[in-house]
Amino acid sequence: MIGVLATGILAIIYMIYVMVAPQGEHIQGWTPRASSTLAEGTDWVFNFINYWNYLFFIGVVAAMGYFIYKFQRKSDSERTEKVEDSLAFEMFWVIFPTLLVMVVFVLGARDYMSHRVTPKNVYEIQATAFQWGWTFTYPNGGISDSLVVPANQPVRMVMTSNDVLHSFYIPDFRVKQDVIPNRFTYVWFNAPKATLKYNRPNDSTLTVSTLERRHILHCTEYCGNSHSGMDRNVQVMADADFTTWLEELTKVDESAEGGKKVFESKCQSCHSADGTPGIGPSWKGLWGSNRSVSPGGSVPADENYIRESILNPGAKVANGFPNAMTNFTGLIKDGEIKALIEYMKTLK
Amino acid sequence: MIEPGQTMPAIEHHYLNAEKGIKSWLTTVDHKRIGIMYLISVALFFAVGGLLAVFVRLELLTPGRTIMDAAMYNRVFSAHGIVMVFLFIIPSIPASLGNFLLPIMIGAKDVAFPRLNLASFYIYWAGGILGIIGMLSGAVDTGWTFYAPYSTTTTTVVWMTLAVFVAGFSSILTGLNFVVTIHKMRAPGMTWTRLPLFLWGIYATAIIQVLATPVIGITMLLLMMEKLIGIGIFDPKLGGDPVLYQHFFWFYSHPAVYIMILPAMGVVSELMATFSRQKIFGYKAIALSSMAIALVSFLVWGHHMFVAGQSEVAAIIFSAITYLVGVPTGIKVISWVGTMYKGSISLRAPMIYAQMFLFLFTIGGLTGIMLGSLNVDVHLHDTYYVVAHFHYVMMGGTVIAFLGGLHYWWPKMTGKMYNESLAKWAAGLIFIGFNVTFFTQFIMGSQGMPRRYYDYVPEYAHLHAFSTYGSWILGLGLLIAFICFIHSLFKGEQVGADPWGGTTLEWLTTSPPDAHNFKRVPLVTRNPYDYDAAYDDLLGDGMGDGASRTPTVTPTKA
Ligand code: HEM
Ligand SMILES: [Cu+2]
Repeated sequence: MIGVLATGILAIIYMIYVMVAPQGEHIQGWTPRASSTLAEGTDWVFNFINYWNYLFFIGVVAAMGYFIYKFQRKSDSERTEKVEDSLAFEMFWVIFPTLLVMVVFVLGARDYMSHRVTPKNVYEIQATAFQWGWTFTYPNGGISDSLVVPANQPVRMVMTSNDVLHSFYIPDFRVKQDVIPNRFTYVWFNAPKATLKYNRPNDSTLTVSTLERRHILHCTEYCGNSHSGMDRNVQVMADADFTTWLEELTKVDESAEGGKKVFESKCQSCHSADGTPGIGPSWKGLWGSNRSVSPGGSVPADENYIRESILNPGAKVANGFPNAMTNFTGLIKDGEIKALIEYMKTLK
Repeated sequence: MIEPGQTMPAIEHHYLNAEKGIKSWLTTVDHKRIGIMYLISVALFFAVGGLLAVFVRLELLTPGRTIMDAAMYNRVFSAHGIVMVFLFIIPSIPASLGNFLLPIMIGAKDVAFPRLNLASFYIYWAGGILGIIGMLSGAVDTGWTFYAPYSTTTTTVVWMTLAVFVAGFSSILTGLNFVVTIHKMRAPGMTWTRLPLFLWGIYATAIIQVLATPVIGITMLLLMMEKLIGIGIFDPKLGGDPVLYQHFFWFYSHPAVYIMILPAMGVVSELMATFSRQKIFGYKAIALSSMAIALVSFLVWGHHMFVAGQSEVAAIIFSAITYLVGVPTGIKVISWVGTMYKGSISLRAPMIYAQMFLFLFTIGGLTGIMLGSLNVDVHLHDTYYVVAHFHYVMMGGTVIAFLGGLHYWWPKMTGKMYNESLAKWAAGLIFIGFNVTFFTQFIMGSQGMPRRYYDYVPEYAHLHAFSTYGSWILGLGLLIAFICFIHSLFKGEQVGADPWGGTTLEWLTTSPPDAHNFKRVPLVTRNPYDYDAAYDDLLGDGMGDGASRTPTVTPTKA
């Protein structure tokens, strides 16, 4: 008896502790910082259900505790009083919860429809998911690996996958949608507050300052080895900054330096630059070497081979490695391929 | 018959010593022995799955690599899920306690098809061995759901899906056997409204097993064909549809969720009645709600797919029906609590487990309401919130009820009593450990921590570490519970026919039961929890061992 009470009390103290314990600056209570216009609706229903849940839970546990205390067996031959089933009570227990869950259903469904119906004047960004990363294509043709969106404007993501199922999830925005090969799915959101700002001390230098903690994009449909590595930053920029950023995006740095950046964002999940083999071959010493591939025996690693390996990876597969690379057609710009080749040349 | 006032001597002849030697066990058609063999088997797989869980939690103790790499982690959590779902929790209560008790509780000699029963056991093991081969030959890293098209890129998936396919037959045959047994073999006077609630749970489960399991079998076959010969039904590269796979999968797997929980609800009903010495409050409501849940459970699979790309109309309909399943579940909770009202409550270990079940299952059910809400599920789907929810239902519900039932029927099965204080220590540690492990995950999940993640952002480090500490307490508790059972086999006190003052038929036969269950066919003259009618024979001698309870068993022609 004492043991039961003690464990119950311990459990409750613990639950309170985890609720109030430090969890990083962006989290208050149950849900993360609400950072899109959709978040309020979600949180409202979340809290509504939660308060009723507390009430029911405390009711059940209090009744259990009270009955255990009150009707504890005193002697082994104790008799119990017969309790009549009460039809009125049973009817109440069927009808009241049914009505309540119907209210919950309507609240949830109504708000869900506002998630699904995109407002007019959306800014549209194409997203492609692959094992294991994302690319975002902007209306001006710019391609980015992290997601940058204009502040205070409805944004619609039109998404597809290059290989298996993925899912697009930004907890701070309360949006989630599976990303499916051979099919387009969409999600929309409106993030009112900028997280990032461009400062221009003089005309030739741009510096970036963070206004707030970035938001995180997660993949939430299990997709293999580096599923948890598909996190990307999401930054929100005010109009003028966003325009600057978009202009910068279309400029490609074709130097080896630029290539290193492309490598880090697009290739590093499977290739290394230091000789350790990953899912794919390491790039160290790759440039100019003779590659044994199938089909075809042996080919020199020159511009054409590299280009083909990026845009049509299945054509010649390096021996000893699976035919597992994503086809980057449409996910990479010509300039970026040039930069990658420049970078490879430095990896002797 | 033992006269009132006399102590129970050890029983001379019973099912355990009716025949001797390992061969007599492996070829037995006695449902009790088959139940015991299942019990040992599922305990084994529970230990395997539990060990894998410890490794999963250990890896998540710190962000980044802790003890293994991502490829290994993905295999470990997948194996944990597959073993726990297909080899442990689906067969757990029905195949072990169900097999042992069902014929006794309806006053029958055995199940309807004893040989089929033994065959089911071997088919189950064939599935188990295929699964073990699958794990040793590389192991799948797909999670227990085998979602296409990722699964069609892994070779070893064929072993695992074959294992699920084969194990499915065991489930179907057991279900079939139970349905026929309950329909055809009830003792005279055992009407449907005199059926103990454990059997109502088993009956509803058996119906789902028979109707739903073939669907997973066919789905697994299709997946194998996709992998081996590329028939192009699920893989978009071949013109297939991966969302179709999810429909097939959840069409089985949501009802399967109720295969896992309905027998547990049955166990809890028995525990509440016996340890409150009170008839179940709303017996008919519980029996009917089991059947209602079984039927409606076939219509809600789409709530696993709110963000999978199905239409908005489908999502809204599935959400509405999901809430209708919630209501009968709520009714049960109220009935159990109501049963304690004006009862005579004895907090022995099985009752402690029943109270734990109420506490944890209520949390599991209420958080299901959260997940059924469309807009909230968009945020919570595939996060740790879902992981916490189904662990509260499956572990906090089914496993806890299983442990409670095992303590309750242990004296019946072995003739020995367990050590009460050891059992209570175990229960306390399990309760604390469980909540520390999984309540933490509700918080992580609602803050956006996705599931099936090897690595995570530092924001969640604090909660993940907490959850891992909890898993150690939980593991210790389970270990002590296990030791408690083994200890009782050697040191346990001999018990009489009815150590608890139970009123259902199994307490009328000796502990352990005779090889043929009853010496005479019982004639049932009252409802299962009719303590009023049972008072005099039950408590007449103040022994509570049921020794003088002859009036309820009238000899009929055997
Ligand atoms: C009664 C026993 C129950 C069991 C054994 C159970 C078990 C499960 C399991 C295993 C999952 C996870 C599926 C996955 O791997 O993604 C799940 C998810 C879910 N459950 Fe339950 N559940 C039960 C009760 C309920 C109830 C009462 C409700 C609602 C009224 C509910 C609503 C849901 C929903 C909506 C999901 C999908 C969540 C998501 O994936 O986002 N469940 N449940
Ligand atoms: Cu993914």
